[in-house]
Amino acid sequence: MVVLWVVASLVFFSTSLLPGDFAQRTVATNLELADYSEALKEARRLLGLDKPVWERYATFITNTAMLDLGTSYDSRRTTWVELGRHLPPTLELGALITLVAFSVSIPVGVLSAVKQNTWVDYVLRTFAILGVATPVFFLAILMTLVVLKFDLFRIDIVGSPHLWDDPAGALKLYSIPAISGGISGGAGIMRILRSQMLEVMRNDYIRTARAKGLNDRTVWVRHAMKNAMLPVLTVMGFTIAGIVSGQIILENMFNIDGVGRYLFTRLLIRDFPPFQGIVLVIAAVIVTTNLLVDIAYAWLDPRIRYT
Amino acid sequence: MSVFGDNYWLRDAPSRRLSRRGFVRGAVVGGAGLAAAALVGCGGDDETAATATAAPSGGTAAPASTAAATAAPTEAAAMGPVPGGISRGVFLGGNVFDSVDVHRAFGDPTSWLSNYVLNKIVRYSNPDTGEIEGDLAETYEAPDAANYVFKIRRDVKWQDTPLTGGRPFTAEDVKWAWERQAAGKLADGTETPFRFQTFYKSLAKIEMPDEFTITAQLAAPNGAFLDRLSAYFSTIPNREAAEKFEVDHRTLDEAAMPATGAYTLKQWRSGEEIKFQKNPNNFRKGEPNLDGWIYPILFEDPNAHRVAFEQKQVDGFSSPDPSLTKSIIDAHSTEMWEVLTGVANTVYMHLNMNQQFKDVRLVHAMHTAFDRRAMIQTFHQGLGQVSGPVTWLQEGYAITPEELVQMDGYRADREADIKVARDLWAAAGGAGLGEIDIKIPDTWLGPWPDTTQVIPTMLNEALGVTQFKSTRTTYNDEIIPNLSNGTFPNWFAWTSQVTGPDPRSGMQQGFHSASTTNFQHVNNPDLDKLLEDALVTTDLPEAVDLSRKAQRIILENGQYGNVVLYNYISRSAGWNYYHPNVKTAPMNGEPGAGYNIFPGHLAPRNVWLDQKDPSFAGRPSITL
Repeated sequence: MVVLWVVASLVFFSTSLLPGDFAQRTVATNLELADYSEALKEARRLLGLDKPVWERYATFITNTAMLDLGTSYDSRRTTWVELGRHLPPTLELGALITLVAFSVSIPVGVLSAVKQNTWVDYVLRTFAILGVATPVFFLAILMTLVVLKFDLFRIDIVGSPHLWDDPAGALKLYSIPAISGGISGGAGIMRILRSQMLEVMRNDYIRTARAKGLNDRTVWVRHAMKNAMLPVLTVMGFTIAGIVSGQIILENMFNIDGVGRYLFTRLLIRDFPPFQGIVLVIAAVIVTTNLLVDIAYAWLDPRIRYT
Repeated sequence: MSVFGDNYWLRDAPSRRLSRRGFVRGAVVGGAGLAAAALVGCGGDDETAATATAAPSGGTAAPASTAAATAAPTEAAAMGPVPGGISRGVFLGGNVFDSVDVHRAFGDPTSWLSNYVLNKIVRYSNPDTGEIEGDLAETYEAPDAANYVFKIRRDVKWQDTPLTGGRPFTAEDVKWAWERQAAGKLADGTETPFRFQTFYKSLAKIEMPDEFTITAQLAAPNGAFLDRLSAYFSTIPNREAAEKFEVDHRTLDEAAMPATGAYTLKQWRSGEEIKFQKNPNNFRKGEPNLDGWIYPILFEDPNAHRVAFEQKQVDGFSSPDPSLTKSIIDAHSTEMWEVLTGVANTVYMHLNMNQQFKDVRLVHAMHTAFDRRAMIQTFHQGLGQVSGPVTWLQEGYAITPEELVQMDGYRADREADIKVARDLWAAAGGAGLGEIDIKIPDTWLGPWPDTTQVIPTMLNEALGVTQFKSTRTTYNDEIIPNLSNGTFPNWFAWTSQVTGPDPRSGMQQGFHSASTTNFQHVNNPDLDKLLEDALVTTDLPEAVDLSRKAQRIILENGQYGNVVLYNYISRSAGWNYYHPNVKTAPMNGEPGAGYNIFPGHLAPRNVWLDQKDPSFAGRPSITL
């Protein structure tokens, strides 16, 4: 709770420091408009932005404690309603990114480790380094240009279909962001997994397993990989948190109306109540995820016990 | 009836990058551009424009519309518009509808939208030249510049909704709209700001001799009165709906704007696509061409917009980066057209004459030292043209290009301007001013972040000094609040938006000694007389002549610190099947030209789709 209170305060005061507010956004900046100042004053009054910062902060904290995360200046809908509207696309994209990231990084990481210093390892490491070094937007743009150039399939930017009502259309829309985001995120996991696998493979219990006559596959999967996954689990925790907070760049690039894009547009038009509320929710998710990761550590490694 | 029969820019001045002919094209197209740019859908350059982009402006929101500035390319155009089809434009997510009430919306998006649904009492038949025709008024007359009589059409009915019952539109609707804005009060008597209250307060007497006639008597003669009534923000909303939604006027609802015009609002909800449906009871039979419009909400990210456009999910495209638009056109050169449109957000340098620049020679030196053409090249890839006190967009009233290029600050011979500027600077003791900060608002720095280096370098080199620097500022925090008290900073950016072809009111407001928005405290009796005479005449040639004389005085005085620099040009693209609303259609691979002044009603009325054009193949089916 203390963490969330600190986050709430930081978010509130940092947004208060930003130049401009929603009232200014809605009143045309036109110096020929003689009534501008009066209009701005009225717009601020209607939004409650004319009150002192401390008063707005007190209201914000009080309401937040009662799970009232405010109402959007723009849509007039509550933050919870807005979150409900924008979370599904983010979860869809996030799930696909995670799927790509883990389905690529885990086999590649393991293979690279067990084939250490062979051409397979060199190729996979090169792939991983490129994946880490290439900005996700650059990869996405390249893939988009290829799709446009050869007219491979329709990316339904305007329709924004969901997996549950138009699976084929949704997969086409999400394919480029999922692959580019998955490669970018998975490359890091692959490198961590490889180094962990190499370290684990040198342990005595692995030698013992081999001495018992177990085959390579059993040694790698049942004995080595389980322990090598511990650091990967930490990364997975952050990945899941990232899913909830949205992929701001990718959602904007493909007009996916998810949480990331929503947060960014709120910031752009200074619609702070939903921005502050959703950041708080994300913070809560991260705190919870870290707790779950810690619990999973104990399950994966019998040496770890929390008292 | 216009005195501006020929194309203003056929008499034009040179641009460094464009050929003379090329520029002429650009200038013309641009027109719809800003209009569009500013209003229909742009995003950054502030950048929203005729076709499908966002317009930049010092804070003015602009939805991008594929419709605004389009042009048709092929022989199909010669066959005339074919009715039917639904067009899909783009409304940029960064724009905000702040009210469903056109009288109380202080941003432009609501005014933009209202032009699809509502009508004005009069409207531009050609927004660039300022020719006006009746809209809701069947006829109108002005015995003098202070008295106006409008005969309202008898065949106009409100869209049949539970609020209106489909009743006829009468002079009473006009009277209510004018009186409401002038009074600044809601139905329950509550006082609240109305965007154009000051303007409507100038109505001394409004009378309704009969149900379809309304007369207006102004407190003071104003020859630009009809011009103002023709602007895109002068649509007349329904009284019952306005009063029904007065309390909750910020929640979007299609029921809040019953139509009289070309379309009815089918959907207007926050975060949802905006949908317009052809009004079957439109009093102009046979109009509009399209069955409907859909404006999905896209963010300004050019990738999303580009994908949507190249896959024909939207019909037009425009980007703050004209080279991106060009690259798309080049990749589909046989299937796309190009239109160039002037951007209405005029770029200025403001120098505070109340404080640092009290000697008019100093502002004249700065006005002359500023390299306008270099800035157009640096920031806009050469797409733009220098503007005098009246911009080139307002072609009817602006000083001719031939004359302008002979004047300080506009010469093609840059060395001559530099010499004049340095002499003035030295004579007025410019060195004694010490460090001079030309501030740049953050809205400008978004698209052009290196402006803080470019501007001081250019001025230092031109004047041979090291006094200039540039820092960041904001309109809302430092500039606007300090205008009326005279302590505003010096700044460079867009300042005002050209909203009509007639500049007389704007000149009066900016430079007349009695004006409340004469922030530089200009007090020149000769100039006052010219501005007064220009404003009261209803004789157009005389108004133009007087306005040009006033401009010359303003230029001789370094524009009194309100240094107009240039207006740039937006490039738009569209598929050949999409026939937009343009002044000059693109032909044979040459770009078309949009209207320089945004009229509001022309795109909804004129755009059509040629579903037999080969480029239509592959366009996804669109239904409302």
